[in-house]
Amino acid sequence: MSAQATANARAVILYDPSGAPIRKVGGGGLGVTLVRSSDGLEAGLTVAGDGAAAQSTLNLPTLAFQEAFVGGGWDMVRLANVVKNVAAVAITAATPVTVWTPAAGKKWRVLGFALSTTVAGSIIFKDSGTERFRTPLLVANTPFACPPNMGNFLISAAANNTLQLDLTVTGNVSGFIFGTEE
Amino acid sequence: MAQVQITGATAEGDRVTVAGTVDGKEVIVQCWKSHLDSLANKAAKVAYVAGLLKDRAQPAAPAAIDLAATVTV
Repeated sequence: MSAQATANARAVILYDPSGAPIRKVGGGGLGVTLVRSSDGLEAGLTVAGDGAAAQSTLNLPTLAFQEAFVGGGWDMVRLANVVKNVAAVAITAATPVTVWTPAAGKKWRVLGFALSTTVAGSIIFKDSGTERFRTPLLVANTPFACPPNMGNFLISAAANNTLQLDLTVTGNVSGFIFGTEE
Repeated sequence: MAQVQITGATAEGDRVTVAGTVDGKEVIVQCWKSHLDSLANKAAKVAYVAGLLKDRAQPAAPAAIDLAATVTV
């Protein structure tokens, strides 16, 4: 290990599956090995007996989270696990209709959608009454899918806010919205 | 009944990180400040956060599935 790497080293506390810290006991050696391979990051826990004669290697469970840069820092990458069906929902222009009510204390996060409207115009996404974004002007009865690679996209401004749809011209909206509650 | 103790909380924007212990075991949870603000009083806020800590430390056990049977294959 280089001198610089040694200077940057940080202590690591290991926990067993029950949450109890793993600590070295007795005179045996305890070591953790992280190896980068073609299969990713492998981890191993090495326990050496007194005198280092007996040595065993255990699998070490590890957790990893994908993160992505969001301008001012890093954010966990989301995976949609909530789908809201929008089945021919009748909407009067400028009268938003709730399509997603998150569980108590939670926020909705829209990760994507595919929608159509029976009349030409824009579909407006509202956050408990406040417009957050709208689709381009759509052709009637023509599906519009959210562009790919929108990342974590959009989270509601406050917990317990509802996601509402509105229209610029009265009509019916169909399709689906997907995302997470967090 | 679990013994829950809240040991600290910090806020970054709307995101609140709460540290505590449940029966002596350290637990960290996150919630929204906007939700805490919507609760009526401190007792309600504490009860909500304590519930989060307890749920994190003691997740509900999955329902048992009875597969005991005698089969001939």
